[in-house]
Parts: sequence; structure tokens; C-alpha cells
Amino acid sequence: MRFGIFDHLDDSGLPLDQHFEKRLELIEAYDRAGFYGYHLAEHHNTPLGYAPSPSVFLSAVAQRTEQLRFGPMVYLLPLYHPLRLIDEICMLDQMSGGRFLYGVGRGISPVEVGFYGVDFDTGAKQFREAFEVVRRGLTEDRLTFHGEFYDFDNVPIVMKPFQQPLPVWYGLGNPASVAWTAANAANTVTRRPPEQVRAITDSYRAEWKKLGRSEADLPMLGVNRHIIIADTEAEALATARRGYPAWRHHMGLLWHEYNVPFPLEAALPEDFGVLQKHGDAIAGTPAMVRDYIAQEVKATGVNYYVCDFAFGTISHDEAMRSVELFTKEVMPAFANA
Amino acid sequence: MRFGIFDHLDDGGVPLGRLFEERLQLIEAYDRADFYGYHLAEHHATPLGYAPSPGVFLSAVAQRTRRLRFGPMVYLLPLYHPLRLIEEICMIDQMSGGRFLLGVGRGISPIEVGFFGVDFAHGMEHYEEALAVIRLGLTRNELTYRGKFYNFDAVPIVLKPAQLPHPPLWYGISRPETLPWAAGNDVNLVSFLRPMPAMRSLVDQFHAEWAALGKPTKRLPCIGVTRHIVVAETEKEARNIAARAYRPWRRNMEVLWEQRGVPFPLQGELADEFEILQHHGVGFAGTPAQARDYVAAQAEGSGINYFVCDMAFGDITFDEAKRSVELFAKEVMPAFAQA
Repeated sequence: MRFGIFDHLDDSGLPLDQHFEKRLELIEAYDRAGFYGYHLAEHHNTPLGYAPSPSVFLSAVAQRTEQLRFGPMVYLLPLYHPLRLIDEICMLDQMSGGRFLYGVGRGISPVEVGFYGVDFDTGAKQFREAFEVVRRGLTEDRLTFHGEFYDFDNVPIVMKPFQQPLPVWYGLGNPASVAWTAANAANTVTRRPPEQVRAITDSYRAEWKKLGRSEADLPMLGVNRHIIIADTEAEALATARRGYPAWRHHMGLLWHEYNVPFPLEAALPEDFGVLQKHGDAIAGTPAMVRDYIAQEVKATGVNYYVCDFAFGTISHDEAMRSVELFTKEVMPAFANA
Repeated sequence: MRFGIFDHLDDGGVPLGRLFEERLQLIEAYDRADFYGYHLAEHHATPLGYAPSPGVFLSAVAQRTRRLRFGPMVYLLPLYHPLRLIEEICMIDQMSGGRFLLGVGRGISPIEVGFFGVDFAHGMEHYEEALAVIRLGLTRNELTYRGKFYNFDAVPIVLKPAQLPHPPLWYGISRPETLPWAAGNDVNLVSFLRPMPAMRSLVDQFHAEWAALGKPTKRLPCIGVTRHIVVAETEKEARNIAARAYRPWRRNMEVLWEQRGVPFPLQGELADEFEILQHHGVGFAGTPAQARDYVAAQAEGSGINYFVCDMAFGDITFDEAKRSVELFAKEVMPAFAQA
């Protein structure tokens, strides 16, 4: 069992320079603790994501960490010029000795992709083209592609990533995307309720088998949960309930402002206590968190557990305490699982 | 007199991971030596520039340095989505405590901008619109713009740079026609390998434009010129290193033009050998004492207030470049501390 981190880097109320620096210090703690991967969201023009250019932040992460792998969760492919993205991927992978995790997606917010002039309705199609262009650009010496959205003719490619092939990651919410992810051997992370996660992992394993691939090569199938740990349950829950509403507000903000129905309105309760009751988060003592994860892993069939320790107004010290207790008292229980 | 660094980060014949790490170590030496600014070129699809996304490399520079200011020389504005560039500038400026130098330009290679689908013929107009959009985006809470190339309608802007109203502008100047714009907008200028007499004329015109606007001399922006510099204990050693390292860099400058059958605009102007470059006074290889005299003559002859060294080019090794930097910092820069 491997553990990872998912991060929106949403507004915490701190001045921006401190917000970045404190988050980098937290990421150094993730690195020391032996987390496998750090996955950073890409959002635009919203306090939900202060790393709208995830590559820029991840380049700093590469300098501040030694073992931790990292990547966007996910690059919104239609919002990039493919040539620049190929360059950024190569640079980040080379500058980190091959620790880059290439997360891809189309963008789930019509408002955000709209700011960039991308038509949400054709986003999925554009995503598939962009993915193919970048795939060629990362592996071939000359890029030629003639499509509906992109047109390249014999462009010289002078840089290569350190890893060959580069691991692909995908934020999997829609069960209909399972076939694509399995076919592309993509690693996945989802934050659906437990029973839906089980359906996704079962379906992924079935697709994998159908493709004639071995169980040993199965990509990482992850679930993402908000986690707060403290010495007492009351303290953890109080911290979570105080920190969560700001993050919840950031999640819905742009949708509400632009009068677009927020697709997670029902799935994301206003109160952390309710989220926890649904089984989608935990705030508690180390022992409670250990039991929660053990049970959830069994119920969902995941082989990758992705924690979100820093969200909303959770302070740096509170997040550091969560990480410290998680590392000391939770992770060791899963060392051989 | 301030000192700066210009860097193409061109192919040095070493594996890419090592090139990046050694260059970052060299930049740490620039920082320790108290250089003012580190200016990184943006080139695409060519061994001339292995930082095609300068923002990504500069974010690492921010982590590895403490005082050194840094920036692209220059961001090729038409090749970016303006929203991403606004976001990137804010992030890097905040992550460096306000050390970002915002270099802007249109791109001088029709081949490279062509790869990005940008029409070189409209480059200037495209660049001017992009710059207007970026300045709005860096200073407003909402971006609205209607132009030929860009259209934005009340896009919320949630990030701000650390330096207000926005990081200082820098421009790679080649034509005197740009001087009035530069003076009017407090733009810092760097000219690439311009010979001393031509540089003198540019500096004089800039001073005149500045004075004509009634702006005080003590607030004059940086106006500098780049020079290839190699310093070693003996003149012979320095010249040997420079002669060898210059050839691959010179080749990297030309290679894409040659591949595409487009005449290289610096052909005939950019020396084929370092010795000729040095003979023309736009490159220097020698001892620390000779370097001191050279810099003094250049500063006096051209009137610049910013001397920009290119100390790592072609296949110059990390140790060779580091030695140049150390000697330059110890034996050349102190002589200009009060100038």
C-alpha cells in the first residue's frame, strides 16, 4: 500500500508568499515521511487553486524534496499549447531525476476553461487530440500531427523526459472513462463515495485482465480523502469543522458566480461532520484513522491512499501535526499491505 | 555599475539532468557573488535553449538563490496564453519575495514562433496587445479587454505579484525606434552583443528620451549590454577555453535557421570564432586584471550602467565557468563597486 497527497493549494487566508513557503515546508514533511506522490490541482481564476500554473510550483517542489514524486492532478490539456507542455514535462522530469507524474484531464469546469477560450462541449475531443500530440512529442524526435485542433509538421523535438515511458495519471470520476484509463495504463485517483470507488476499481481490474495484462503490472488505483489527525477526537473534529467550510466555499464559488449548476453540490455537504458520516473523510485520533483506512481499503479495493491534509483554513501547524501523527502511527500499519 | 548574467542555457554536450543541476549550482555562485540579475533566454525546438519554458527553470532558481533577481530575457509574449502568463508571473514573484524581472518581447525567430502557430508578420502587433493584456491582468481585479488577438470579459483575477504595481519590465533592445516606448514606460534594457560605438549611441538616445520626459537621472532604468566573458589565471588558458566553448554555441545559434533554409540574420555580423568576437570588443577572454581593464573601457566607452556577462555558453564546463565567476567576483567587480 502506498500513500500520496492531493492538494488544491486553495486560499488559506495567509498572504500569498507565506502560503507558498509554508506549503513547501509541508511538502518537505511529506517527502521525509515517505509519501509516494504529491498531486497538485490546476484551477484558474479562483481561490480554489493558487497554483494555476502547476509546473511553476512543482519546479520548486523538485528543489525542496528528494524522493517524493510529484505532478499535476491534472494538467488541463486543452488549456496548454502542446509544445510548451512537452517542454515543461521534459524540464520537470529532468530537473527531478525522473520523479514526475504526468496527470492529464480535460478540465471539469466550463467556467474555468471558458476563461481560456476553450469550448467545454468540445473539450473531451480536444483532450484526446492533445494527449496524443503530447505522447508523440515526448517519445519522437520530430512531431507531425494533423488534427481538428492541432496541426504540427515536422517540428524538431530536442528534449526528452528522464523517464521512459512517463507514468500517466488521471482523475477518475466517471466510470465511463475506465476503459480509456486501463487501455493507456493510467494510474487513477478518485474521490467518490466508497461503493462507487469499488465499482471503479472492479471495472478497472476487469478491463486490465481483458487486455491480457498481468496483475503485477496493475497501475495505482487511488482514493482521495480529507484527513485530520490530532491527539483527541474532539480536537481533530473541531479543527476539521473549522477548516473545511472555506475549502467547500472555494469549490462552489465560480459555479455559483456564473450561475452554472455545481455538479458536486449534493456530494459535498457544508459540514465536515456530515462528510465524515458519509464515509468520505475522517477527523480523529491516529487509531481511528488507522481503522478507517484499513476498512476503506478493504471496501474499495484501492492500492493507493491519497490524503488531503491541508485545505481551507487548516493552519500549517495543524497540517504538520496531522502528517506527523499519520507518519508515526498510521503508515507503519500498512507497510506490508 | 551593476552586473548581470545572460544565459541561453544552450546544449553543452552533457546529459540534460546534469546540465540543469550544474547550471543551478553556477547560479548559486552568481547569487553569492552579488550579481544583480539573471536573465534567461526563451527559445523553442532548438539546442540553443533548454529552458523553453523559462518560468519552470526560474522557479527552481528562486529556490536556490536568496538575493539574485531573475527573469526571462525574454518571454515571447505571443506564444503564451495571457491568463497563464499572468498567473505564472504572480506565482514566481510571490515565491521569490519580489525578485522577478519581467522581460518581454515578440520573438525574433519566425521559425520558432511559427512552430507555435504564430504569424511572424503580425508579431509586433500581437506582442503589443499581449503586453497590454498582461499589464491589465497584473494590476486589476478583473480583466476586460477587446482586441484583434485577445478578448476577455470580466475574468476574475485572484493572484497579485509581490512587486506592485507589477514586476519591473525588461526588454532586449535591437532597434533605437523602441527607445521612446522604453523611456516612457520605465523599461530596463539589455542589448545583445552590440558593439561599443553603437551601444554608446543607444545609451545617449535613451538618456535624451529620459531627460525629455522630465524624469530624474537617478531613476534611470538599467541599460546594459551582453558580453561573453571567460576569465582564468592566464590569458592563454582563458583564450583556449573561450575558443573551444564558443564554437558549439555559435553553431547552436544558427542551427535551426540552417535546417529550415532561412537566412540567419546575424550571418556576417556574429563572429565565427571567439578570437574575432574578442577582436571586435564584444567578447573577452583573459586574466582578471585584463578583464578589469576591459570592463572599465566598455563602461566608459558605451555609457552603460549595467554590464551583462554571458559566462556559460557552448561546451564550457561547469568548473571553467565557476572559475570565471569566482575570479570575476573577487577581482573585477569590486573595482566597480562605487561606479
